[in-house]
Amino acid sequence: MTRFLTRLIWSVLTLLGTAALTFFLLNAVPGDVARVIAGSKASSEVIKEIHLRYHLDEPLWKRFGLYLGQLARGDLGHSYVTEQPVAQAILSRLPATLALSALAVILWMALAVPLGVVTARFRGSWFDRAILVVATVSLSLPSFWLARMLQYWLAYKLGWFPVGFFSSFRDLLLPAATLALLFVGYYARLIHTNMVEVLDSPYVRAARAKGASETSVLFQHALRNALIPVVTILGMDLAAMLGGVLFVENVFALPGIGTLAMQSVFNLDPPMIMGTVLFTGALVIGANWVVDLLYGWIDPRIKTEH
Amino acid sequence: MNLLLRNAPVVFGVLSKRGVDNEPLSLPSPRKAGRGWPQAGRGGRVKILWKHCCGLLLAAVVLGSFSSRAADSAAADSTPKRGGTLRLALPTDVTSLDPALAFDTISQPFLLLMFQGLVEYDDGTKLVPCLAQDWTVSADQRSYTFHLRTGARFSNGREVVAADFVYTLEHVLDLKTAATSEAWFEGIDGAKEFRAGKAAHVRGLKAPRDDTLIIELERPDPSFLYILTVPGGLVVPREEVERYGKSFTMHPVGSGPYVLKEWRRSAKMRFERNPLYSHPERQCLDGVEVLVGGDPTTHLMMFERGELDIADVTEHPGIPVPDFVRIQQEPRWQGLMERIPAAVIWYLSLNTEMKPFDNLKVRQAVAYAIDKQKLVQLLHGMVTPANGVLPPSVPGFNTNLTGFPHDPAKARQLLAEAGYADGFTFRLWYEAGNLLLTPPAYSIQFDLAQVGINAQLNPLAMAPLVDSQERRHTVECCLTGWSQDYPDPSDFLDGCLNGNRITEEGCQNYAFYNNPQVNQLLDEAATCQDPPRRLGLYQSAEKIVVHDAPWVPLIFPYVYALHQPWLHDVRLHPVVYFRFERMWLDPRRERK
Amino acid sequence: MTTPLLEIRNLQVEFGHGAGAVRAVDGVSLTLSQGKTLCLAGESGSGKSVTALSIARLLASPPAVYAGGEVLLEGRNVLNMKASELREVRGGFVSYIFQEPAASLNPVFRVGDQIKEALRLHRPEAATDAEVVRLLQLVGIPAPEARRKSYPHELSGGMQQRAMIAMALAPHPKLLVADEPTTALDVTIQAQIIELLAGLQRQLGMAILLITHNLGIVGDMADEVAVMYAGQIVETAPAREILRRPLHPYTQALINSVPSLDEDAHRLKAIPGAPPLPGSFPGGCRFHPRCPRRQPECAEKIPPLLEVAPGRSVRCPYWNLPP
Repeated sequence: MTRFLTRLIWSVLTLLGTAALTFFLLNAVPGDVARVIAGSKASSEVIKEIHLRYHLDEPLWKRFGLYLGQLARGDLGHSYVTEQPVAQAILSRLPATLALSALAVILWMALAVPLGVVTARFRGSWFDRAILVVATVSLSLPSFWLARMLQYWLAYKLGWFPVGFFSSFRDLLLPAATLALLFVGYYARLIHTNMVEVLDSPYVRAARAKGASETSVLFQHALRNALIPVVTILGMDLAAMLGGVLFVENVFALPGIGTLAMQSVFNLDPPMIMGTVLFTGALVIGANWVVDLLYGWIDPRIKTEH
Repeated sequence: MNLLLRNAPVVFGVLSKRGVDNEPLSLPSPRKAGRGWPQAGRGGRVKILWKHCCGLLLAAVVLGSFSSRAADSAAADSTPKRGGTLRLALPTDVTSLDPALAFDTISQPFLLLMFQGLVEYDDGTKLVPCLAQDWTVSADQRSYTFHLRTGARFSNGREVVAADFVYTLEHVLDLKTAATSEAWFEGIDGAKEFRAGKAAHVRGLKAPRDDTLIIELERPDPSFLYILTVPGGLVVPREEVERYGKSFTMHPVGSGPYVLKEWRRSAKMRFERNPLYSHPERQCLDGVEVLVGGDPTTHLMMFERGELDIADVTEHPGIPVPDFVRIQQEPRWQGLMERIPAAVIWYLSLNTEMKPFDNLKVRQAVAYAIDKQKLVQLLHGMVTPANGVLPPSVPGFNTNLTGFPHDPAKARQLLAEAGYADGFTFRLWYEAGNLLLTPPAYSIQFDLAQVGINAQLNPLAMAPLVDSQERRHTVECCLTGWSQDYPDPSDFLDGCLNGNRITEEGCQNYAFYNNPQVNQLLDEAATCQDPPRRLGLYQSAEKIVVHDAPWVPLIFPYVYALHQPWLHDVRLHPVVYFRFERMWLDPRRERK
Repeated sequence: MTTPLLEIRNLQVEFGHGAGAVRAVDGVSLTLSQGKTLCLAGESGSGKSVTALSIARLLASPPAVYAGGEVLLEGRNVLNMKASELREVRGGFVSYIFQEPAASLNPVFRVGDQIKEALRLHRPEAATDAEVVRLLQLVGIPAPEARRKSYPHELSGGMQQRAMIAMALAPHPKLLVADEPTTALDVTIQAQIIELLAGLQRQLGMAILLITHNLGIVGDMADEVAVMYAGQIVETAPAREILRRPLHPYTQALINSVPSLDEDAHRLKAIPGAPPLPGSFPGGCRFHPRCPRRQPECAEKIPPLLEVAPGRSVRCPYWNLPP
């Protein structure tokens, strides 16, 4: 229990630190959010009024304190620029981001696992070498370019997918495939490397010695062990994606958190910037937790306490 | 003029009653009027149905500055049809649909879907009645009396009365609203006291009867009627604004042809017909649907697949620069690309208070060094070269201005005379990521290098860039633009070149240009009541500015509207650009 | 004469291919009969593990290449078997226990499940929890009902080895290959495990091939001993005799190097030099550089394995010279 509490406290402190860092960095940028709200031609009286309303002239530490107080009441505030409640804005973008990320993970794991296993089993074969080349190429692909190319050829030219926007989950197939293509190479190689190591281990030989089928040896005995480190990385990648994948959202016009965050930065909109940063930070911390728990669950050698 | 205007509602009534078969009467289609405007792609030939000869003739005259075209034997599909939803896309959401708060150009056409003001533009830059059916101006040009049209209703059912205008303008002037257009209405008598909280109401706003509105100004202002067209002047109902407060943007209530039915922020907007609006010829479309997100290339792809009706409704420039040449050459899109000069100038601002641009010869040298024709080529002809301050669509535009021709030898000579024979180094600030500015930035850098000047490009995001530009002694040179609020030279000249308006920060005069002669001309023109003389004063000021070169005027862009063949009456407007409520769809070809 | 349970004839196993190939097992021949125990002794690098693993074709191939010879299990050549046949043989006919029990048990599966898998593969009708418990009891694991739910890392070294033995015996194999089963264990546990194996053999009647480098355990269990050096068998003998009267210089040196409790030794008697690695075998007799009795002819050609008595062979022409 104490470990849990300690961890909770550290998580909260980390979030606070993130919030503070963001807040102070944000205020170091030249540019007045009042100008964004009111436009360049507004009078100085109006600008002053906006400054008053949002305490923009108060000392930084005081404004940060006010923000923390608001946070403590569970209120993420309203965008200065659009008046939209921050929590509502983030939550409204969550489904698309969530669905996109989940679909992408499923797609790339569905491809990476068999590829990693087979190339490990037939290490050194032409297939292994070919996959290595393909994986390296896919890792080097510029993400924006890939998204645009897929959109151009598969959606625009061939019409197999919508060019953009999202009205049903099927529309997420192409964007998810784009993401998947960018990650699959890395994961295939990761699984390959882990599988190679595992396939050399004594317990795999012992499983073969028992007369287990090759499929069983690969996919039950070996893979289960090989995937353990992959889970950690997958968790972190998933958390990162949930924070928004900007280029995919831009190219395919998806209502995701990435564009929300970026737009808020362009607008110098403090509540929205803080909200998205805290959200992403909480996601990463949460993902860490989940991954640690998951790790303990799938690897019995790790003792976890609750 | 007044007599006919007063009869306008009668004529309108006649016309709408005459639509017996529910077939809307088509209005004569206007040609783009005016001086030296390039021809629109299509010309908009429309067959006119004479259902009621006299009524329509009267209408044609009443509707004033429409220059009617003779009926043509075009196909029957140029009769406006009712039905269909206009599908559009925007890369980013409009920030607000509250007319007091919305200031970005992108929101204007949507505001005009839902709200109306006292006056509106015809197909050009002349003002015609809207909610005010006519008006008189006092002899000293300080008092305007508006007679309001009866029968106009807000979408919540209530009739629009004069008191609504009083409320609207006071709401804008109230600092608590923090309205963008507050500054425009400062000239109303008593506005300053009201704003300072010293008065409960604005003295100069009076509504003696429901159909009469009187506005009194502190000083005569010939551009005042134009000021009424800014979004702040669009009338709103007090009870709804007070009910919703800051959320009025999500629940806008106006008297315009459409109402907001749905707004999922940063995702989708949908407008539908306002049943209480009484002019069906502006309600041919069932509604307007706007998808938010993506970038211009994505939108162009969707458009080419028939999923959008207009490729791009942001006014810069309407077609992604890389695709411009291809689209122009494709036979499929011939005649479907409308074009109008944007009331925008892109210029190089030289800060007259910072070295070395405090030296007149240096500034003129820079002007000589720059090759504007090359900019036009770089941007594939999407722009024209600018030699003065005022864009072509603004009254007072001077076609005779030649500015400084491209002459690197002369530039070097001037630099030497100024004591900079070895050239100098400076930072050229501009907006990062703006496809319309990046080629010019590099081109200018190159041109200046030819005469020994080293320009260091300094791209910056919009917000910090604007903040720096508006601050005194900060930005020595920037590549920037000014877009019009209303078609009057004062908007440009007073807005950015009047030395009396310089402030330490938040200053729009990025060159911090202060020439007493110019200032005097501008101040005199501000209250001049003789229109030709007034324009002459502005033109004189402009000539001096061009000679003094605090700006190197670069280019005037065009706004392009690429639209589907089944969308009609797209006609771009010189001030507002898009007027969706005047377009109509041919429902037969709407969906493939 | 009945077909022997296991017969290895002139097995040659190489690693790598082409010019760089090294031969780890060079012409090894063995025979093992039902119910008997053969001990294959030698140092690391002698090729004994490779030989043992070849019995069920467990070497990873590539890089291993079975370059020649036969491995016959009741007459059937393992090296020619199809995959399905091989799977039946593995576990069903020959089972293995390995050197590091911790590493040879899959860390993410429970011990009981791993045993049950062995049952499922070859005796599906007996794949029950009750049978698992019975097997655990058989190998002497206390509280078997609880223990079957344990993960390998939760057991001590000795327990792990017992569990592995249970897993190996579950399918009722006729041959048990024990590859250095006690090397990684404490000395006291070693004795227990050997005892266990011996007891189980008496009980169940399977043959055992015991691989070890520790001649100390040989005496307790083995019927026969074969000594390997540098990929070849250098001596075979009944267990009692080899300890009493080793014939090959290498065997003698091995036995001498084991310190005995009643000696008064100041220094370990190590064999000078180091065993050669596959690929860098010396010409001629592979032991000759380290042999105290080497003759000039030893460097010239590899001596054949001479049968000097029934069940007794030596790969040294000077075996009966005085030491």
